[in-house]
Amino acid sequence: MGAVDLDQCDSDFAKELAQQPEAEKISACFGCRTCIAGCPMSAVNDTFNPARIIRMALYGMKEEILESPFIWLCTSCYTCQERCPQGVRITDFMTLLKNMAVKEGHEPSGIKAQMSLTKGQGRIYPLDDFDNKKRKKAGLPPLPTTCDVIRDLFPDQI
Amino acid sequence: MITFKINDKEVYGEKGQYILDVAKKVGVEIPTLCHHEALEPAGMCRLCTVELFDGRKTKFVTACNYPIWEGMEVFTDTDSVTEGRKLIVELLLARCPDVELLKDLGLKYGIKEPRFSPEGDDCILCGLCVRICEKMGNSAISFTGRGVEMKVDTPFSVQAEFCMGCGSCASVCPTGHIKLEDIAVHQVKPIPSEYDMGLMGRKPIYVPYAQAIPNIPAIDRDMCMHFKTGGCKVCTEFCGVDAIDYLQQDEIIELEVGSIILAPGFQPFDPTQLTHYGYGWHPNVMTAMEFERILSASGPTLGHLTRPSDGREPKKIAWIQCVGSREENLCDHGYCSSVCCMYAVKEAVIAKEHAGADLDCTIFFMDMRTHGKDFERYYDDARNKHGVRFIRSRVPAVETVKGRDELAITYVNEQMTPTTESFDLVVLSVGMETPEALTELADRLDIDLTPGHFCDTPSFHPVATSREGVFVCGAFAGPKDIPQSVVEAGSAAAEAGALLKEARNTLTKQETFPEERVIAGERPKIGVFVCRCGINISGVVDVPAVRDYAASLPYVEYVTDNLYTCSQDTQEAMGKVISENNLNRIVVAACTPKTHEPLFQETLVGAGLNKYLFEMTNIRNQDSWVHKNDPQMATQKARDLVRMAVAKVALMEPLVETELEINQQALVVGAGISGMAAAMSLSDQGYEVCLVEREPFPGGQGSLLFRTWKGEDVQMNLSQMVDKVQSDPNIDLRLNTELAGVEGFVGNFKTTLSSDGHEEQIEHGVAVIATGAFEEKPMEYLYGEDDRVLTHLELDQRFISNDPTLKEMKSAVFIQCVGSREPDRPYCSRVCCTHAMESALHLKELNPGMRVVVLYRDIRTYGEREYLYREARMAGVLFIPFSVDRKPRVFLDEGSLKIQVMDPLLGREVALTADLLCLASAIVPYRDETLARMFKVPMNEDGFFVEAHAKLGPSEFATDGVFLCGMDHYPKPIDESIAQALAAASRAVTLLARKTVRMSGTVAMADPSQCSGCGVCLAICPYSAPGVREKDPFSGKIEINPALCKGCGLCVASCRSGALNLKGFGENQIMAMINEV
Amino acid sequence: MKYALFLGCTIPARARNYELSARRVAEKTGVELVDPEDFICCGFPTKAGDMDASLLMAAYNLALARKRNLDVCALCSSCTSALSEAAHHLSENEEDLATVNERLSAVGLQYEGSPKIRHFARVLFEEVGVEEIQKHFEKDLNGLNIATHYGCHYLKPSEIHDGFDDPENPKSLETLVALTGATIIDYPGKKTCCGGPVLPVDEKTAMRVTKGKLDNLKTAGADALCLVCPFCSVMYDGNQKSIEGEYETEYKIPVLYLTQILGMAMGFDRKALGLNMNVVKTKDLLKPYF
Repeated sequence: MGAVDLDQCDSDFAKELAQQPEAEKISACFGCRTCIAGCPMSAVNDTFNPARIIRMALYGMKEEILESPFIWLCTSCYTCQERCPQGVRITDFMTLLKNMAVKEGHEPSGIKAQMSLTKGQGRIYPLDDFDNKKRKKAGLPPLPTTCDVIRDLFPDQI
Repeated sequence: MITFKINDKEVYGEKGQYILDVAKKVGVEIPTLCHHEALEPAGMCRLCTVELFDGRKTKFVTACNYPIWEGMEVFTDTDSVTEGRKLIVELLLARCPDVELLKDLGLKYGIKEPRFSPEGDDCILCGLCVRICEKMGNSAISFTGRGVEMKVDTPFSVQAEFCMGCGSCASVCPTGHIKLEDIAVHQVKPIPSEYDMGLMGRKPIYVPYAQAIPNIPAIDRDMCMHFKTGGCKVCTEFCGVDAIDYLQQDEIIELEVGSIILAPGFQPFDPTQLTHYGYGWHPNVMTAMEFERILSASGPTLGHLTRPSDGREPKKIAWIQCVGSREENLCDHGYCSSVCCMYAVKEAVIAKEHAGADLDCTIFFMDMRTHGKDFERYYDDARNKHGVRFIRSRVPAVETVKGRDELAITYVNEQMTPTTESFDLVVLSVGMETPEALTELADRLDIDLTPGHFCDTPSFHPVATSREGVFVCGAFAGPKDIPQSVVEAGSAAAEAGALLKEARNTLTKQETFPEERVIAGERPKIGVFVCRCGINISGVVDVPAVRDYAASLPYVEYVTDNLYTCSQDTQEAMGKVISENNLNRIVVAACTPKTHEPLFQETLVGAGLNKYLFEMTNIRNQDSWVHKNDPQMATQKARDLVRMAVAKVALMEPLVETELEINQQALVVGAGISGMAAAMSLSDQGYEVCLVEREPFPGGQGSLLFRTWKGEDVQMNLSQMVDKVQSDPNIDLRLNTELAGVEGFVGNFKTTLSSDGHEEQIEHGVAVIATGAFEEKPMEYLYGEDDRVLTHLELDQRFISNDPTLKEMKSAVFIQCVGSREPDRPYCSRVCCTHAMESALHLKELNPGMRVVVLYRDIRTYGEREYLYREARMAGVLFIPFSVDRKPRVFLDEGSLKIQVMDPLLGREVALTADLLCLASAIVPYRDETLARMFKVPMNEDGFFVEAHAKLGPSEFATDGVFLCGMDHYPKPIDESIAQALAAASRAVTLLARKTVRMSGTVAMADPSQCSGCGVCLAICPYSAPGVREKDPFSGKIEINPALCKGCGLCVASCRSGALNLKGFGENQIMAMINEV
Repeated sequence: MKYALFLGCTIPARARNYELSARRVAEKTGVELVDPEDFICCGFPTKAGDMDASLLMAAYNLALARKRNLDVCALCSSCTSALSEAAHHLSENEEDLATVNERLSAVGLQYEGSPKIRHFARVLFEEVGVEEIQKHFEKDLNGLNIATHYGCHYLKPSEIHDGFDDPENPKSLETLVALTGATIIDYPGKKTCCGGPVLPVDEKTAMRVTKGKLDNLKTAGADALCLVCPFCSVMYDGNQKSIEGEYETEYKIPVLYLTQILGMAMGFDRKALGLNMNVVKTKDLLKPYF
């Protein structure tokens, strides 16, 4: 891969991030690699590397991060955030990056589907009468198959 | 006094004593099983039965508890007595056939198999346990049952709640029958030894550690049985000098003092709270302090490197750095503890030395901080020579699986992915912290502390606390290593000394001695004092026999033995003996000269004898202590040692101790910050100083610096220093002056100063070398080819002059380690990382929008300077690490200054343009060999002066009277320079204050008639004592300056002409000793 | 002990066995569970895409419970975490609290502080207590080697779970399982995530993470894996067979919910505990205990 030209990177990106509570401490990162060592994703997929992502953010490589597939690999297991010696909220930062990516229109289809189900139907696994039948058979109380409240909470979700 | 007979020999005893007591005293052996010195005798085992003839008839009595009476006749080994003993042993052996002690006794009495059927018991009902438990004041066990049912048991045969687990029953049981777990309800565990980090137990009465001062035992009131039950007190029964007083109370003593020095130290961080390391439950995870004990030959494993879990030797050891340091999340210790990197490297190297090169030692770190003198070289050797693995990856957890032995560490490899390795042993490099009690003390004393809870001190007064008159030194003032602590100690002493200079010598007492008797022409009349040292020596060596033997030696006119030769009354007795017997040479056969030789020498002087007419021979450490199992040979050895000592002392001559007058003026070479600080300190302590500077202005490198890392304005403080120096009547500041030559030695230097062609000679007693160092001009990164490329000092000039162009800059880059830590200069310049932080932050202050990037190899912001590193990061300064074999490229591209560097975390190269490139150039000493030769002081291969001792003598030279401070010793920041300057002054004052100094009499002497003038001794002497005679008739031959000679003997060994002899250890004396072996 | 049972989305759809066994255990141990019908998704699945939406949904559920004076007990670790994190966030961020309340007023609710939020396992561990639980045991599960999987959101982030168990050295689940007489198997990687949240994004990577733990369990000799989160069950139970197929290996490690294990010891039968709904067959392993 070619060299990263810091002059071409978005120098405001780091400032933009610093405004968000989730990312206000990412500058404290001193590259100790504690997060990478404990990350279950880094162990099986070398495209995901939390310390590298933080560094890219600090350099201002905004587009590269938000368009990337790898930020979606964070499972938010919190191992890194628990252990970071400088108190960087790494997991929360990853979530923030994901949110930012969605706002810019980059999101994996799986996530898109999850979002539309949840915000549209109030459940990620919508229930129907068949489910309630099974529940009754097992002696469990029934559950609503529709969710009206969700339309009032998210009026702009189609 | 009662007179009676034992085995037809007349013996004496006191009323109330038992037969056994007297027999012991006169050396008649009577076997016992149930006897203990501290307990009243009980006559349980009957083994001590002896025959007693009362004038009419014979009867059998137990010697241990039969009181002596006048005229009785005791027989201890008649046939009937022996037969009786044999039967007793046989019966006991039948009862307890597997007890080693009884089997040995059986062999002694010729019993292989008892005739009676074995019972398989292991208690001989001696009652020692019962009796001692009673003495302990507890009585948790007792004899229960009667007749054949009798046994030792707890009340109702259940485990006793009130058994205190003191262990005395188990310790006195001769057969090993008693097991504490059976008696006590509570879990019994040893008292953890504080010194051995809890790895070993200790007793309630214990000597804290080998170097304890005073080196005597202490009683732990919380554990001592006497304080719990009122019983025991066994220790008092053994103490021969009645030194134990249980009634001692804590005293509150009020002292009126003029100044206070705080040196309360630190405590190691306790990693138990960091549960992810497994410390506290997994036995093979230990702290570095515990590892030190394991490596130590006097530690719990006697220096064998073994794992606590199974005693096996580990094959792979991992060190985890920064445990409890640079950690803001889990333990609020964001500072760097300064010493852990170096101690981990040391432990790894030593572990490999102990266990062999195959031992795999790996250190997991973030930044390797080996910033001390010679430390970088040590780190290089550890990697290249010893094969220690260094992995740059902080380890967050040690994975332990219950039921399994291995310790798994997951770290990040070169490809930036996690990888796991198994280790046998994990050492946590714990940091330093201030204990809670100490922060409370600081509060009570009204002393300000830093955010890290260390004592806050200003850079220009590095040992001054916020409270006047209270000074601080050591780790309480911030994490630091030994050399730095020793420097601060000297510094604090100098400050206190300056404060109290008016009171110097007002509270000291002068001792008066009688005139020395002239013994010339007298025949040697030797007195030999053989010491028993309580039972330390006499328990193994037959002291009376040695004493009697000594009497038979030539020239010995008086012999005696003492219980404690070092006691006060023995000193007085010795003095009398010397006078009354007109003795002129003394031998003391006792412990090591290290403990009491000066004491005895003082006794000799008090009796009018020259103190060198004395020889001490060690029949304790070198005899009774190491030959405990062979008293016969130990006694023979003691005789040999005494014979040798007598042979030597007969040839001893009185020696003269040179008395030197110390000229009360000091010379300080170099008027930089260090030199000025040293001069001011000497002046404050009341001495006149000649301060010499070759430049036309004082200040040295200091005049080029902007701010200290604590934010203090250097130029302002510096000008204050200069004003003080210039206005101080004690300081004679000579600018534009160099040294042309130095003659003389400690106390009597004559130095020629040269200025503008004029020469002047001054006399001084001591000299402080503060010639400093300078910033090297870099040879790389386009320095000198483009004016955007600067060094740190050049950037500082711009800061000082408030250069307006700085604000306009959009991008600044710093490159660290330029010229340092390279093959041709393998040392770290120590200050540059901190300086870079300071400068980077200042640039951000001037223009927050500026992009500031620091390219580094290891960030070495040690101690609380680490906070500055975090501040820089939080301000948006970017840090990119590079390795020495892939250095950043700096080049011009169409007029732009471009820098390209490989970012290992990113896995890609990073390129940027810089408006300013600041290089952390190496600090290089002046290598003034002429000066070194003038003062006869050594220089190392890097050009820095070599101090007397790397740890314990950092501010002085081995050459007496010459001291050093500042960057000519090693690169250092302002606060450390001033601290060392004060320490050097403090060391100098120890000479100046005494006005005259007596040098040891055991110095080398050259016989010019034998000397061939080869000069080997000149080259070999570390103290520059040999000099070439200039005057006839022996010009060209060597003469030894007794003022500088330390009596090490190197020159004597090197002299092939036999011209050199060490007084007090003369060839004839040594040969006499050898001949007597 | 009365709680509003928060079922979340996954349990009613794919983990009825967890719900069944949990209700049984709750009843036995005196934990009263109420079923508000109008809980919606806890918000966890939307967090990655829209943190504000996630916060709003969690706040809705909490405000609902609070209105009814009920504390919340969830069976799913992610639900517990999502709700707790939202409560924590809203207690510290006034701006977001105002935004949330503005949106909630559209449905006639206001968030005015959080009710108590607990994972059911925590309720058992902390409030019911080991002594009480043991009282109801009728069977001994001696001979069963069980490994526990704590997952990520049961204990982390640690600041929102009041430190009731140490995420670096946890013991709550093992303590509870050990009460039944089963043997606890410790294994490397005990604290590793199941990989679940990455499933919709990169199935292969997610399965690789899941596989890692299954391999370790196999090597350690575990008979079964104990879980407290239905999403983890999707990975370890639901996907075990496909991992076996993909990597040509065999595990046959049944995956049991904590409540199923406790329920077994309490004497409930297979049907009552929904054991037939577990994907990896449990019949052979658990035969001796029924």
